[in-house]
Amino acid sequence: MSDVERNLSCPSGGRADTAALYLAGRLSDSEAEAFEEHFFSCADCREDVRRGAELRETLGKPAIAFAASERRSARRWFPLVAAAAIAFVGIGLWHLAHRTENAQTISRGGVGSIAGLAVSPRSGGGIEVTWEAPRGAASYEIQIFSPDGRRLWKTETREPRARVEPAILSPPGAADEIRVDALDATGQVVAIGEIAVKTK
Amino acid sequence: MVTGRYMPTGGGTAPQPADLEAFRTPLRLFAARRLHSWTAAEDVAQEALRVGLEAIQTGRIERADALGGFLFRTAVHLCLHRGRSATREKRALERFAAPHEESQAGGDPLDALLSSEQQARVREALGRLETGERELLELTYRDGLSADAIGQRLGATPGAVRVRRHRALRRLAQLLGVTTRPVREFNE
Repeated sequence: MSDVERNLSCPSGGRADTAALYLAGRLSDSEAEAFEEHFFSCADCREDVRRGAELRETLGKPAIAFAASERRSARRWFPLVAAAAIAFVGIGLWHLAHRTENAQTISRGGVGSIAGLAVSPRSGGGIEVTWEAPRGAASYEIQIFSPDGRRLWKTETREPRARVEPAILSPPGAADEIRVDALDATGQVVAIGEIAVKTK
Repeated sequence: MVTGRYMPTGGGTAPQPADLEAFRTPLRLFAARRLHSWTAAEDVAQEALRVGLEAIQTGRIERADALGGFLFRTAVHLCLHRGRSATREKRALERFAAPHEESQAGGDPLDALLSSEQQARVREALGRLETGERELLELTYRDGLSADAIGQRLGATPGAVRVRRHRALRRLAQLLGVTTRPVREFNE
């Protein structure tokens, strides 16, 4: 029995686990939503969530990790992206001659992937993220996450590119994750792209 | 796969307006996770509580144990509505405002649940825990690790981790002067 299942059959153990995993954004969307519905009706679990959020803030974390979007949690993919970034660095492609090293995009089921997602250094410092505009995309939401899953930056643009100032990125050596959501005119996600970037 | 659903076991008494306050933080967390903004989350929490108060005062919620479900459904509705409104607002801005390449939306000035004073209290209480207790809470809440993962790291069974964490949380609550709820047994 998983912690989530254990939690949903209250009263039982594992509650603090589920609350902590929920707050850290480590539950799947369906698990998180089921737990939310549950803790609104369960005073004990509600207290676990409240206290967990309090502890997270005190320990220097956001009270709750935002879902990467209403759609999917980017952090669940982060180890894969980071591993791809490391492999990419090892191969020593031309990116190594510049200030950035990046990885490949990740495709997901159900939603298309953004093609041509790339990172290049800017002459004045920082990076520029570019991608190919997918069909039906009217705007883009760009988010940058630190290696520990904290969101460092978020912006929206109608152009298939975004400039990122150097101060936004993690210190050299740390691999940040850049996530681009392409939205249609109604705000629905039509494609997603992710890329890891590590400054030297 | 999540299959279970909690069945409320509370009494059949009517909810009171004071019962609403216990839902303020959960509502903020719920909305913040979806809307990515503490400002928007605060608005949703306030509105949900207002709707809840109105429902209590007009007798639309007959039992106290139904209040949580009512607020949950209200918050879901408000978040959905807010998402649609935000999209409409964005489109209107795009029609009437000068084209812009980027709009900065990074820092949220209300990106905090606790006041600095409350955080200092909790930090002080954490500092008074034993090293092992503090480490356990850090692994759980700072690093977001499950009891299984912590057990592997510390060389303990997941059950032992849960028991030790439960004691650490209880001790922390005592240090903070919080009245602890009745202890429930841990099922392995």
